[in-house]
Amino acid sequence: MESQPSRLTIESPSERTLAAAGVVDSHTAGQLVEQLNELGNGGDIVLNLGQVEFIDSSGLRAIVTTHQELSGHDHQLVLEQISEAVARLLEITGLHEHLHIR
Amino acid sequence: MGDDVSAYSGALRRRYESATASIGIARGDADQWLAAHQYAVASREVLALVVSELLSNAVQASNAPFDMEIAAVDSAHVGVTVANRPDESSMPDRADWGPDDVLAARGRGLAIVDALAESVAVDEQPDRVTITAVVQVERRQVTDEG
Repeated sequence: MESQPSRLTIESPSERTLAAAGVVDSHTAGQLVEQLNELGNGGDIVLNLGQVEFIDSSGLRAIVTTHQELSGHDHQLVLEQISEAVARLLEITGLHEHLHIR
Repeated sequence: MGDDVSAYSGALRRRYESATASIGIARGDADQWLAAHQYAVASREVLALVVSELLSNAVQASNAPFDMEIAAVDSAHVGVTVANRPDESSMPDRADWGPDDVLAARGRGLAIVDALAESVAVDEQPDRVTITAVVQVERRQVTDEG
């Protein structure tokens, strides 16, 4: 089977909730950044990562940047139903102790 | 799939264009090689992350194509080697691999490789930078369906 470029799909099941599925790497992280930025910093954002099968530091950058932006406005980025791949990388980097995860 | 420049059987050696789209393709090529060589799913997941970070680093550093090699070092280790021609000297000192602040936006890629690999070697020449990460691996068990 021929290998393919990474694919990420992002849905918005409710007003300030995004659900990502697929791969978040440097090829696709821009999509996530764009969708998060569109929601603005006027309230909490819930990011469901339950269907993320792979993530690298490019994906973490998108998450941390949004976390910092919302924190600066007394709001939270809440990571919801994180997949094993996400959990593993958050633990490796120590971010699991600093981000809002439920 | 990247161009096959394998010089000997057993190793995966390919050249890719410097583009973010190449990263997923190379990661897929590496995973197919690892699966074909009966490495356990957990080992393949670790190697996918190492490959992704090294290739992201290469793509950021240069517009020139890069070479990736995946090869068994011994029965318990696989080496991932990525070589490219950087536009300028861009490799940070080893002590600076990783962000100063855990919540910094950037700077985690090489630190992740360092955390996952048993060893990381950098060969920085004027016209070529080669990074080799050696990762401890396990072979797939009979009961492992991945």
